[in-house]
Amino acid sequence: MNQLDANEDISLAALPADVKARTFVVIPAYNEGPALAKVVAEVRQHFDHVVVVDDGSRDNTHAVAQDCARYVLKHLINRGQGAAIQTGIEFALIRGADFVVTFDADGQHRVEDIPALLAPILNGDAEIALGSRFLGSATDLPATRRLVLKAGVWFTRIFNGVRLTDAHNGLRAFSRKAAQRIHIRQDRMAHASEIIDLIRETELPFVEVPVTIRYTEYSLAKGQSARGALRIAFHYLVGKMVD
Amino acid sequence: MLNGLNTFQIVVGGVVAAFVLLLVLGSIRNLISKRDGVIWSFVGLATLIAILQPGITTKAASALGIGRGADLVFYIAILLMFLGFWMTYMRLRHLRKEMTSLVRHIAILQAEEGVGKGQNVETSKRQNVEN
Repeated sequence: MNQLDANEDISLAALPADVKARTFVVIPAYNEGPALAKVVAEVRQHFDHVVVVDDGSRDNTHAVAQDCARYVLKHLINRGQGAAIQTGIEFALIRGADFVVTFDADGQHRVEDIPALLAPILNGDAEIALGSRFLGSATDLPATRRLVLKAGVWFTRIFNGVRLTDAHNGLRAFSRKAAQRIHIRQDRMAHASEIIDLIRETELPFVEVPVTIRYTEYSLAKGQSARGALRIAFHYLVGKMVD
Repeated sequence: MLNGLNTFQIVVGGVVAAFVLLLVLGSIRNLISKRDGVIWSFVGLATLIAILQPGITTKAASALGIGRGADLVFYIAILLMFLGFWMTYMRLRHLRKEMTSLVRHIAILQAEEGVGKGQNVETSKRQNVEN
């Protein structure tokens, strides 16, 4: 695994327009009404193909998505973030996407980080780029959340056998080839660990890229507590045993 | 023939025998999976033997180094309970996966396009995306 130089200058302006036009940004959203519009608007300033997958939200997420997104897909029944991402990826592939980026709906990711994720794929160094908040920076990350995430990194090291600095970051980029070969079966939150497994099994080359995570009260409330993390670990291990 | 049996043996033995019969018929008619049918028929038959020949559990227990027959029955019951939970859980997982496939399929079929950012050409609210 090689890590992209953090100082390498890849700005949104430098990213070729045709690459932007061939990139689909998949945003899974479950009850994200308050944050979604701003997130989608930011992304769409640079990437037109924004796919919002409304994962059976009970709030106004669907209406908000209809107002701002290019494509809106709706899960009639809530199936979990992993399922929503997979739905978005399949749709993007059907529509001919050459690059697929997954992006969180709660405002913790920055659209400015996307070019750095696409760069290693564009110059052939990798098929998959994973955002890492520990290579980059995480603003206002509370100590307890840092602990949970670090535990997740160690969990990944032990059970997936892959050394990463941040195993549970929703900001990722896939080449078309990688998106076709990665099929997420963990419907709920355990998909993050599952993706790492799939990367190892498919032997697709990947890189970790430093990204900045903006922690807000809103995104923190939406994130995982230590107890939630244990539940995810259980789902992941059961899935590993029986699937 | 029923002279040697007490009331408990007749009532509970009858219920278990009926249960085994249902399992066998169910497997034959494909109402339940063959695997489930075989597993639970064996469990039912073992129970039936233990009911009709109570002494047999004590012999089996002492052969395994467990004190009383009732203890052996208790341990086996707990193990079977876990097996039952596990099989139910697996079934549930399977159903969830099927539901996800269905929900995903519908989501992709009914994808709405171009409604955002006022840049849409069509005015219809639900314009289906052709695959």
